Amino acid sequence: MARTVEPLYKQQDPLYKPVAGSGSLYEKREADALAANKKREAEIRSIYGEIIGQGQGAARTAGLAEIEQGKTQAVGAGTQQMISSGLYGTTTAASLPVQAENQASLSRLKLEDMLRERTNTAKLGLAGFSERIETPYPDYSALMQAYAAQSSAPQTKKSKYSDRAGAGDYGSARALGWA
Amino acid sequence: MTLLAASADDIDTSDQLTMASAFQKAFIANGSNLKIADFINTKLTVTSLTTAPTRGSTVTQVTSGATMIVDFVNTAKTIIYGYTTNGTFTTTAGHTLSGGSMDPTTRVPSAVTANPHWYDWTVYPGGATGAMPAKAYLICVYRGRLTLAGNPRYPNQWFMSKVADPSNWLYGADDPMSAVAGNNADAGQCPDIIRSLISFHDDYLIFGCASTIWILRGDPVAGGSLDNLSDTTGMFGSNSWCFDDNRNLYFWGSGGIYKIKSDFSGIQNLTEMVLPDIIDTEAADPTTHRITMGYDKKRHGIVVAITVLATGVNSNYFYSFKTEGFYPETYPEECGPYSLFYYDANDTTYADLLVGCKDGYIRKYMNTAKDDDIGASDEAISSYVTYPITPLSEIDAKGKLTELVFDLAGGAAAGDFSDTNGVTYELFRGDDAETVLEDIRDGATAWKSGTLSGTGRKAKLRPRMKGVFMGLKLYNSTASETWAINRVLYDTKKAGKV
Repeated sequence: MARTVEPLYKQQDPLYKPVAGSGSLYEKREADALAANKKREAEIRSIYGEIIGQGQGAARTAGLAEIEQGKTQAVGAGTQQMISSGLYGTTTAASLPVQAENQASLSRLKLEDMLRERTNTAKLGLAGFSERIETPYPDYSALMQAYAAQSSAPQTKKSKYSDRAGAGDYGSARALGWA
Repeated sequence: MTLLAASADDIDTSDQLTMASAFQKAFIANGSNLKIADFINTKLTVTSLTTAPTRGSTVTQVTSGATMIVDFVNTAKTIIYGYTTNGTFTTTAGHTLSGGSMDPTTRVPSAVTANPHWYDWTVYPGGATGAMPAKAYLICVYRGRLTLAGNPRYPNQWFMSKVADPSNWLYGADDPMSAVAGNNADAGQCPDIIRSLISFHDDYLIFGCASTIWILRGDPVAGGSLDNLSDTTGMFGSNSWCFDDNRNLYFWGSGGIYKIKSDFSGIQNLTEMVLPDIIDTEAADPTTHRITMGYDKKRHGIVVAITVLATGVNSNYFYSFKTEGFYPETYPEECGPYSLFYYDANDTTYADLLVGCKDGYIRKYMNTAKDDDIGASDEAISSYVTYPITPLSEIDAKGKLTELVFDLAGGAAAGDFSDTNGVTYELFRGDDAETVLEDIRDGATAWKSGTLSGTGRKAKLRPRMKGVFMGLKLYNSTASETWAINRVLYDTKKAGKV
């Protein structure tokens, strides 16, 4: 089953809004966010890995059991049919197990195909997830403009809270390349 | 009539032989001699092939352009039999054969032979066509399958080839056309010995067994069914049956002569009342006797022939559909019937019930013949009829036969109708019916006898014979004479107490 995985880096977080005059803080938070995303990526990859790696064991076991049961049923029903039709003493009846085994072989192949299809779906999901991961870089141009705007503005006494994250409004995360 | 030269000394005529026709061939089951008489294919003789062309494939000869559809290849892979679809195969150097995955493709026929052919019936070479039974004495064709039975090692087993492929005997393949083998029994029961295979078109196949009868409807590999027709009656042998025009089946069974109606509504013993001791009387043994039956379309009845194989001594019956009566017959030993077959020729002068006889001749019944042919000479026909023992009085008293009139066949002397020859009559009398009949049977001296000659109504006789019962026997054993009678008239009167 396909899953839609939203790009982690697209998520908005007010904490990532840059604070004027605090480049190191910005980088620190970027690094933190990146690390968090990496952690989440690892978790998701782990889930995919678990799905892919588990080898559909239970499904295979159940499927094979069902096929064996079907084989037994087919031989039994065929034998009963042969007895009812009076043809039990023929090679047609004797070949029922062979025919059932042939049918079971086909069913086993179909089961393997189905299990492989499931694995492939998970692999495709993982591939899609990987494909959608982007590693954007900070828009240094916008950052410099922000710095420039800050330096040309009338200087006032810094509020002791001015460097609090999220206290200022120096542009959106999109402008900083977090889109 | 043509002799297939290769067949000479290739079958055991002292052993049982049955045959069936299919795919424009005759298939012969003669114990271990399983043979084919082929009337359709061209035969190509080649140096042994490594790989035979696939059955049903097309083999082409370069330059000549001749093509054939391959039907059979012998075990040694030195002979290819196929139906020529184009051109004429040659033995010219360089005219190689190819096609059908045959290998090598450098073979040039050393001989090209037109049909008919005679060859061993084996499986197709290549290893994927199973194995035929080593011996078989019974054969028939059913739903495109050559069906064999009578293998002495497995007398209860029947074997069927793949549909439309008499050279494929690979049983149990996952294919609705696959070859199949089986027996006739309920699950877990011991099957009966098969004595005859009776197929009726592609509709059903009857297995006549030693003491049971089974019927297979449909195909055994594709939804058919096998049912028991009789648990108490068996069949005598491979030829002891025939069908009439209404698809009714007649056969010699373990209790007499039977009839199975075409709708299988029941098995009727035809001899139960009229010939209750026929089995003991005839004492036919499958190891020494052959019983053959044939439907005589021209005379509207069934011929039942019981022949001692070694001597040709025979005891036969004609069952008339008109009278529903049995007429015992005995033929000269030379004419002892080994087989009966109605040859339905377009020319009605040839269409007749043919009799394959002990001396090797094929004969037929001739209404005009006055003697039996025994080869180099003829033999007189001895015939008689005994009229039902008749009371001469209506009550338990004596009566007197006062008048007796014979009306012989043929109308006026000469003329268009065939005239009868003379006939001798014998009159018997007695106080009880059985004594009269016994006297006739024992050949006792008749109370009165005489010979009638000429045609038409004879002069009235006045026997004045007294008795409670009378018996009348008519007969003629003279060479080159036959006789027929239209009716007998008589009159009686009371003649006192017994």
